[in-house]
Amino acid sequence: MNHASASLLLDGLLDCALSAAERDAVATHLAECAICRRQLAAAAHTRSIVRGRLEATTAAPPELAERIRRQLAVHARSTAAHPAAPAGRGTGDGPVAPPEARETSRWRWLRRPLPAYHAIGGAIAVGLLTVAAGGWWLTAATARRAAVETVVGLSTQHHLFARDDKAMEVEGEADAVAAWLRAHVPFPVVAPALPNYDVEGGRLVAVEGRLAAQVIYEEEATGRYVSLVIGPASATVPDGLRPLGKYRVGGDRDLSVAMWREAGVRMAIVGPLPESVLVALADRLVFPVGWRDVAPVERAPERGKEAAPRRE
Amino acid sequence: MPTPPETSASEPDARAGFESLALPYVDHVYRAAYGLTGNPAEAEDLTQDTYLRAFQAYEGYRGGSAKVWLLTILRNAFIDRYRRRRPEPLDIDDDALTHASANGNDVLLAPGAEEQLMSAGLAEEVDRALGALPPEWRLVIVLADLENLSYSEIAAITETPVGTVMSRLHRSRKRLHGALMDFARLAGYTRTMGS
Repeated sequence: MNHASASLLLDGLLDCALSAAERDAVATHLAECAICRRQLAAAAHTRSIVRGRLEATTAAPPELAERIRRQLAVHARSTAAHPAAPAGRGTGDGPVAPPEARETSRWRWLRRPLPAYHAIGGAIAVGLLTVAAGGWWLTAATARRAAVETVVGLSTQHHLFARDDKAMEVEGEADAVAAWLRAHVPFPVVAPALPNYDVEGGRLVAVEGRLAAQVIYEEEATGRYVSLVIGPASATVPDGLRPLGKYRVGGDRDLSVAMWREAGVRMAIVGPLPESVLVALADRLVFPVGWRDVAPVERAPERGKEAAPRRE
Repeated sequence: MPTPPETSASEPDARAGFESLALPYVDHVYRAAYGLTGNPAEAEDLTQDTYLRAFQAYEGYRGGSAKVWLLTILRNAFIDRYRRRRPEPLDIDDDALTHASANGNDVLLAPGAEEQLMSAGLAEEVDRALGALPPEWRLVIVLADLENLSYSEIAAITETPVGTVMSRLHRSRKRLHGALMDFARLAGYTRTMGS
């Protein structure tokens, strides 16, 4: 046995992967060869250091298994609801919008009665965005003036939602809502699953002249709304909100907001809940695998062209 | 031997069966994912991706080592992501490696130096050296040194011959040793073998 053939077997010796004949041959060679003995010592040394480092740094987070369970449950529900739909993200096939996506008319609210809970939801939304606009996307120097202008614009938009949920511009399954929103904004958008809540739809809101995406959830048991608002990464976290874990939280009367940064965007969840409850809700959001990788759509579809009645 | 899923099982049963089969290996999958990505957030995302893919493929699972099955899916998920994001190859040719791994084999840490070096930044240097390896090599190191898999299991996961696994392990360790000893030498914590 020469150096070259022995050299490749040294790792096998360390890893207990050699046959008895190979072990004997290597042992014989090592007894005669100082170079290969040094190589063996070096390999063993490196193996020990690397193994120690890997073992020390790679414990799985304790909540990861539970997160996977939730993800599988969400996936199973989605598959059961749409058995013929093509696989979406997470299979490596890229995002696919289910056929349930329906863009809604902006004006159909004029023809419909106004359920009371929509008014409640609208009030929540106005409050939410008032809070959010108070500084989320704004620099400290211009926050006050810009906030006033922004709140006026947002309040007008959300008044439509307060009058009727037809102000939502898209409704449907979460993937479809996210896909529609993604087609209209230049940053990653997602409509993560929220246990015990259903995605109702989504809409675009303008903040400081820039688009943001709002995903609206309805609690199954109570009909209560919460919103997830996603904006560009250039936003600053507003002063005056207190840190709570990874979130910044604040509120006004019955409304609370929790903000955080997620994968290059700013997110805020807002609703008529205590701050601690809202943060717990944010923690329970189940983000689809790989959503960060989905590039914004370069050419957005023309709004209104793909409109279809939401509920007849 | 794990029980393959019944094709007629209801969805909750199938999910429960999958979870009981696969979730006990979440630490192993995560550790391999961390070894591949070097980043906790990426590793979590890759682990979740792996389990979703595995669940979607569960109907076709026909027994065998669930751990090897999951790690094979992990590798494929990683390759898909890697190729989307980076132009660099997953592997490098042997010539490039020969030049890169030629140093350091007659140098070891001085006795007792390892602990001191860990506090002096050796841990970070290990991370850096691992991160500098081509991903397919890094995976082989993780599977062999951390997961203690056999060469044939690693060959199955990486879809390469056993000889390639041995070659990658050998060359990876040489390269890692060279990088770590360069760091230790600069810090004055080395000794030449035989001294």
